[in-house]
Amino acid sequence: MKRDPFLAAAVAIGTLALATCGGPGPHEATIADLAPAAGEVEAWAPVAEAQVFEGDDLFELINGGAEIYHEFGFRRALAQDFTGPEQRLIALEVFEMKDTAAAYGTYSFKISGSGRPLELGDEAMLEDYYLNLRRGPYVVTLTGMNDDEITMQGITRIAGAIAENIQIDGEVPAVVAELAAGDGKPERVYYLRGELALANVAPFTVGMRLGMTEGAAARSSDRTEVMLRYPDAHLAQQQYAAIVGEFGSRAGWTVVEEQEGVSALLDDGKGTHVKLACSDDTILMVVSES
Amino acid sequence: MTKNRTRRWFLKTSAAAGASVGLGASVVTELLSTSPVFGADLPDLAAISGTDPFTSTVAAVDRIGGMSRFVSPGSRVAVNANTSFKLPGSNVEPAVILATLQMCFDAGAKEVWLVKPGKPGYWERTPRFAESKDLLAMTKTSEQDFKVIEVPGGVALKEAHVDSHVLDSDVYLNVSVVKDHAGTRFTGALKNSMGFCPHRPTNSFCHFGSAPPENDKFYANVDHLSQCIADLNLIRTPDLCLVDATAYLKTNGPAGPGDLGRADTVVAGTDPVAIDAYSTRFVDLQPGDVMMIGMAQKLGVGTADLKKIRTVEGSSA
Repeated sequence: MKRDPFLAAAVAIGTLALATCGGPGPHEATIADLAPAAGEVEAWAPVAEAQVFEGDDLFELINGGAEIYHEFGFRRALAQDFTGPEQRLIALEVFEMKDTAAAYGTYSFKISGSGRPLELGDEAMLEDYYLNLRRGPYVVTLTGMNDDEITMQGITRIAGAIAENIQIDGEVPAVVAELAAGDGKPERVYYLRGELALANVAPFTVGMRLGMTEGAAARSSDRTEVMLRYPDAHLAQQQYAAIVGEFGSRAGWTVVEEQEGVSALLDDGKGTHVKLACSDDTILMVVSES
Repeated sequence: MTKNRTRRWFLKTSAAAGASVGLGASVVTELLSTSPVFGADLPDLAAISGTDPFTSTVAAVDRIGGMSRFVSPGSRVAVNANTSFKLPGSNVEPAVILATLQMCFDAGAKEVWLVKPGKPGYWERTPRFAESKDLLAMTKTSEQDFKVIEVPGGVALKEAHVDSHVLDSDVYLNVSVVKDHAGTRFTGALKNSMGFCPHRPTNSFCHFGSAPPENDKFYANVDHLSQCIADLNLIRTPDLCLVDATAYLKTNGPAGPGDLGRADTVVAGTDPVAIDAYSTRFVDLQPGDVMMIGMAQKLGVGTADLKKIRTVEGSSA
């Protein structure tokens, strides 16, 4: 029998115990200590001084790319270039996030989903010309200005050195573990802390004020499941009613079915169906296309 | 006169570019022979593909009338080009800007100002760097002197700090790269207007609104940002927009790294709304998917209805 993703996830909400996300804990080293020093990685050396960006100064490093880091909870970033054999260049960025869940979330959006996993840090993914790695509250990105073998080997070596320098482990946020616990393996799993991240997995939510504490999304070939967590059941119920109302007021959207305060099926008239449900402190959203 | 000078220069530089990428002289001849006659019924938008971004840029501008349609002899030109990023696919390809600068001088510009300098190493990325040192030396870079002005008709943004060269120049050119954006989903000509404002206070207001961070958390708001971008485009409509769709971020924009798209295309036009509406295709979106496009259209900045504009598509290779 085909799994009912909505029912399975709804059951998961009620049966799985909540676990708290790991906090930042004491950092073993400052961010400036994480970049490999000269001689630490064979054949690769830092170029000039590393730059550190605190808080809102992240815009100086990545301009409008800073928004989503701030939504997750950003502390500071380090930028350092490395030069290697035949003048190859690698750009290193280390992002120190507010806590390990924020690092998980940032990492979950930065990977492509089609890279090659590496056993580095808590997890790492090697892509065509870059690598992302997370460990503890840190997200590390190494980008080659070339994608040849020399550069990609350098990226992997530098990543290995940084992963060792961090010396603090992270964990998978509980809400992600809950959502991913259902049958089948989703193609991508994301951790959410706000509406900007959610808009990247469910674009039709742009402009909605969802007010969740945190959330998770799991994308499969035929659907996207989203779990939004609230401080308590009352707030979740209030927000659920507001979301159904918002959909109902949007041009093109219709409420096809509704069990007031419990669940609703919505349709945008163009083939997108959204099933919403509220249970305890959680709102569940299942998006499918036809 | 100016037009002839442009064409002589184009023939010379295109032949050089053709040699470097294996193009034959017949391609250049074909391009010139199909360029519109100056003063004739010109298209609103030209999208030119080819393996050399420099040649494609010149060909795209030529198709909508050539740079002398926009730049008169003795004029002062401000070029707002997206060079704020570092990683592959996040910046305008340097050769697109070099072609723009060269066309401006060739049309007789007295001064050409870049609103922002490229990050260190930016210009060296193009194989044309060595031959372009004189061109870059002739080009001035803004002193980042900002004037505070009222945004006429602004809905969310009522006041902005704007680079004085953009306000005071005779000609304003907007040179952007098409790419993904984690907030607005898409960035092109309209969003590039943020490039003529400083981060604080104008762009930070666009990103986060006027509310202070709460418990050190910032709240991004896509509809507010989109409206601010639309509002910014009321300050000064570009005389010419160029959108670089040669190599660009399809994911993880605007800073990257992410999946790279490659359309090897340069788009030229005068309407920033129309050129963005057209360019959404490069990142697999529709104009209606991008909030700022609809908002800018509503403000009268331009049209997102591509049926209302005349578009030519062609190849420089």
